[in-house]
Amino acid sequence: MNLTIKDVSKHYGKKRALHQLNLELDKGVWGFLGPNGAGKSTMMKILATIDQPTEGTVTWNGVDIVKHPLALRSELGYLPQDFGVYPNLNAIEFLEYMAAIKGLPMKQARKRIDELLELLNLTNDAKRMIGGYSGGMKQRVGIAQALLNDPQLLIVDEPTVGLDPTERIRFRNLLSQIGKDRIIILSTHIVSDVETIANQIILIRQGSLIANAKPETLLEMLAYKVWECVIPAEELDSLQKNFIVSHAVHRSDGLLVRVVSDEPPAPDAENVPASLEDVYLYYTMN
Amino acid sequence: MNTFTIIRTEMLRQIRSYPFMITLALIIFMGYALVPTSDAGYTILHTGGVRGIYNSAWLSAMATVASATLLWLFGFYLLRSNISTDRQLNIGTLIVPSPYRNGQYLFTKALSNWLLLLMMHLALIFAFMVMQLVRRESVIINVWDYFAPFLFVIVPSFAVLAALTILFDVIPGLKGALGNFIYFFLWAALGAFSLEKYTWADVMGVQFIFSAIIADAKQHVPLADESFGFGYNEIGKLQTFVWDGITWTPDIIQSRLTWFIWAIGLFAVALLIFRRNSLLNRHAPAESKPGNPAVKPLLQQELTPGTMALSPLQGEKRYELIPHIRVELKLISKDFPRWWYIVTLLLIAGSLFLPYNELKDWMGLLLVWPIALWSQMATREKRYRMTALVTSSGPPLLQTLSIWIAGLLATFALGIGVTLNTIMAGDWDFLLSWVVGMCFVPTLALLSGVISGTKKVFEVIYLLLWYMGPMQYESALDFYGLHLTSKLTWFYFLCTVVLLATALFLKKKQANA
Repeated sequence: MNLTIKDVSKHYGKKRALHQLNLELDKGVWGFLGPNGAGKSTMMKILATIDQPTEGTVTWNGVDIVKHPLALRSELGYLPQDFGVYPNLNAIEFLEYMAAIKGLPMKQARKRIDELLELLNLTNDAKRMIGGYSGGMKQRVGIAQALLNDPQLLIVDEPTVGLDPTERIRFRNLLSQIGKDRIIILSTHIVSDVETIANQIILIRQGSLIANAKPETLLEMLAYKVWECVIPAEELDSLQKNFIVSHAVHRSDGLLVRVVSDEPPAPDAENVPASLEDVYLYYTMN
Repeated sequence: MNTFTIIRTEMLRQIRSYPFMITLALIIFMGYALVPTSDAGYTILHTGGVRGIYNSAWLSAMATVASATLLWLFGFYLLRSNISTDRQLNIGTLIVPSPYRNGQYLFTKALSNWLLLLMMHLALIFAFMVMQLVRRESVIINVWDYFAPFLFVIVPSFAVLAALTILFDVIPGLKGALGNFIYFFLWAALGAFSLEKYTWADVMGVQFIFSAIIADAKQHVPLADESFGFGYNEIGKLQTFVWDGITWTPDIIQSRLTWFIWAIGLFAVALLIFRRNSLLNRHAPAESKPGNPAVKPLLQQELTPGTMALSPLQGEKRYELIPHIRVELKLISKDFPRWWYIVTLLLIAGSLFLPYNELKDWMGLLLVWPIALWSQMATREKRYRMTALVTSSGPPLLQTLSIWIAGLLATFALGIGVTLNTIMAGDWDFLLSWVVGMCFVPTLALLSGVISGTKKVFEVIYLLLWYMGPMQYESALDFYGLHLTSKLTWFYFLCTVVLLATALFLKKKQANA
């Protein structure tokens, strides 16, 4: 099982969305991190065969999916960032429709739908029209349809939008459990979504790849680059002009600030262990 | 099995929609209205001044003609945007990356449309069966008499119609108002050719049914003439005869079933034109840009509670009509491409410089050209899923009023050529009815938009009004007073007031719901 992205670029007119991306993905959870507009969703759309690169190739198990999208589609589960549902169908009817579209045998699909509704905590609302669902419930229906065909490649674009903290944790756990024997691509700008479950993190900024490493490697790369110090509140403005300030907390003796920087921001600054959020800020703001 | 599931789902979501329920209710009402008592003073099926008794054969023929005529119009508009809906609802994002093939996708859409049309016809047949028992001119229900025309006329005819619903939904230029307009003329032309006995155009089967009736009627009763038609006719007492229906020979059946070839052909064209990616809402993604250094970081602002202001602009919040109207006009102006404006300017110039005595003869296009402008009134929020944002941002009455005034101003701007030409000619009677007409149309559009939230409802209603009134001289529907010179001016003025009041009332009710 292998997904290869080779020299992929994407342009919309003069606008550059992706630039010369090269990646080789195998089993596991891959976290695509980047700020809004970095090109993550464009990349997801190309991988999901609903968009084509301007240059480069994407192959699934050696088959070019731009030329032969069907080679991937039967093994693909895709949760787009923005998707719609038929409001006057209930969740079961909608998922049956999606199962039929994906070509699943209906008997098997019905069993799978029941399992997924249970797994995603939708059983009690399964017979209500989706038009009356909350944003989080619609999102869970979207997750269910992505998992219907037991996909070998699962692409989830900003999957936790609208989910409450409990559902978010439940979803992360689900991805961790199923991520061992398939490729899962999780695209997000929410660092906490990927830091607990991703085996590998890919950082994108302005359409270019800026890092592709295991979380622990990224953290190691930032060792001795995260600092904490206490400063007077009025000095924050000048500190922010020169450094990346990731966090600030009021204390009786001033402001405790957390700074991501190659150099200590103040003589008394203490070096502290880095978090993935620090990594994200370091690579996307520098 | 999968095809069955998909078609069932497609049908379920149509059946559960309000427009379908309304259409079905109208069909059942039609069953009642189209079978008047013998002393009702009117008839719907006009065949040489006689009519058959209400037996199964006659009522089945009526059902076939009624379905063919009306469902070919309303059924089309009801089902014509099945594919566009997938794009608008953003379901295309889920369908495109699935292994579902283009042919399968279009086929299930066409098939479900076809089945829905047939279902509506079956509802009409059922209503006619009930009416047969109610009118009691013949109490024997002959099932074959009802179903033979269904099988040999309606089934192939609706296959063509279903293929057309798909074709008009995949050709890029025909998905909106232009497609509705073109189809309306296609329907009118097919109906007219069919009634004029052009067999090659008789896809609806109207001419086929009427010819069979006339041929049999001649054997039984003397006919006033051999004309036929479908529509409201005031009559005195009609002579009746017993019509036993059509004798279905293999040749007749074969000739009707050949329409399936047309259906397949139209479907094949649709399949060739269809592009899978047209199901996606395409827009180039925004590129991330570095932040503005002049903006103070939020982090710092959070640290000084009570001092944070999102905007340096301070002032009392006031809702005013004129800024609302201004933005509505701006939104209208963004809806159309440049070529639309060029044609509009040519039409305005033409209506200004034409000799006044020829003006009304050339006004047809000007009266229908802005249909897309009117039909978007009060539908934009629903179409772009802005309802929650707009409703929560200001008083609904002010918003609705500003949409109406903006629509009115745009209409007056489009009609300026006619207005000035009429003033120069000193035709004050027509000027008054023209101005009232210009107020009536956007008000009707506003109410249609408020009630339905879709453009289609107004487009269908207006096309019918425009065709029957200003174009076909149906006196009661001449809302611009083109042919009656203001006889109905005050009636349409009153209608405008009532429509506006209803629209405002309903909008307020919707906002409070």
